[in-house]
Amino acid sequence: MFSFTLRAGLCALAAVGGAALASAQTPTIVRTPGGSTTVITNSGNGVGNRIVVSGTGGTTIVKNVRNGIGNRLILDPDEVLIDIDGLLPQPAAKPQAKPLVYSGKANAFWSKKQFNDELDCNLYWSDTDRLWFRYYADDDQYRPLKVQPATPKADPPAPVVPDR
Amino acid sequence: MKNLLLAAGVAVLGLFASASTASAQHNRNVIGNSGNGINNTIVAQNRGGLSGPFVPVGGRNTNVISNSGNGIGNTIVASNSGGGFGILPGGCYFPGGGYPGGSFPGGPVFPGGVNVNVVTNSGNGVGNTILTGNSRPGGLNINVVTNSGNGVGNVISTRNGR
Repeated sequence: MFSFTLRAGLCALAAVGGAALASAQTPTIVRTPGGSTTVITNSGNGVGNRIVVSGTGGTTIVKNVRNGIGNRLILDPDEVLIDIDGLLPQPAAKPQAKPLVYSGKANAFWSKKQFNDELDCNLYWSDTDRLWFRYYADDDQYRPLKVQPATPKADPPAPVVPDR
Repeated sequence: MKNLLLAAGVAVLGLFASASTASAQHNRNVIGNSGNGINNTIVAQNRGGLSGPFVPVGGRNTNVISNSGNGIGNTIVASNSGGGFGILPGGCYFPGGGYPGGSFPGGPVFPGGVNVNVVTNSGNGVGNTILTGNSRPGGLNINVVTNSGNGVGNVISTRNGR
């Protein structure tokens, strides 16, 4: 009987203590949804790589990923994707170099003239461009040859004639 | 060469006086320059212990893996799992508990703690697998993967559970 009473008392004490502790320590929890963020940069590039993001509707931020061949980014439908590369302004395209031409037959851009047997025409050497040009009468322009003949050799120095 | 590297921070939580201390702790695994080669496995894990109904636990859980698991067929696992409570700096519901701070009313509360996995310069090569996950209810769960999983046939999988 005594042991039963003691046991019951201890149980009651524990219960009361636990309840008191519970009331003392129970915090007022303002539950806000947890946040989840995934950041992936400079990754999954190459061949046949796979990036999988799954979860509970968080935010996924990617930059410079899945470049190459057959790479994939598989995203949970609830995820919000922020692709930094898509947001950044694309670098301006390099201005294409203007085709190198000299207009007008009388243009004195060339320093050497040489007849070419294969092309059956004169070629004109530009020291500035280090290229051979050909004159096209149709549009009155000198244009560089696609296949360049050998660079002309420098003129040999004039022979020095000793004084008598 | 096949290696298994396991780093585990297990937060075992008491129900009473140790609660706030335990919840404020920062469980952190840092692995660098490891498991490179062929068929290595790296596991960094912070697991929460049993949490009582009124005891804030969770805190900060961080795994940082860098320059590791590069090569062929390596596996990298970074995980923060388990239940519990935590609080961000500036949180307000349990002063002194959870994440250190807790005295800035109006701050957000993340009952699941702040869980972060960072994998950088890892898992590059062929057929490597990077798995990062946070499965702490209500936590602020963050996975960051940079310069990793580049090469051929690598898999990067990140998951944030509710």
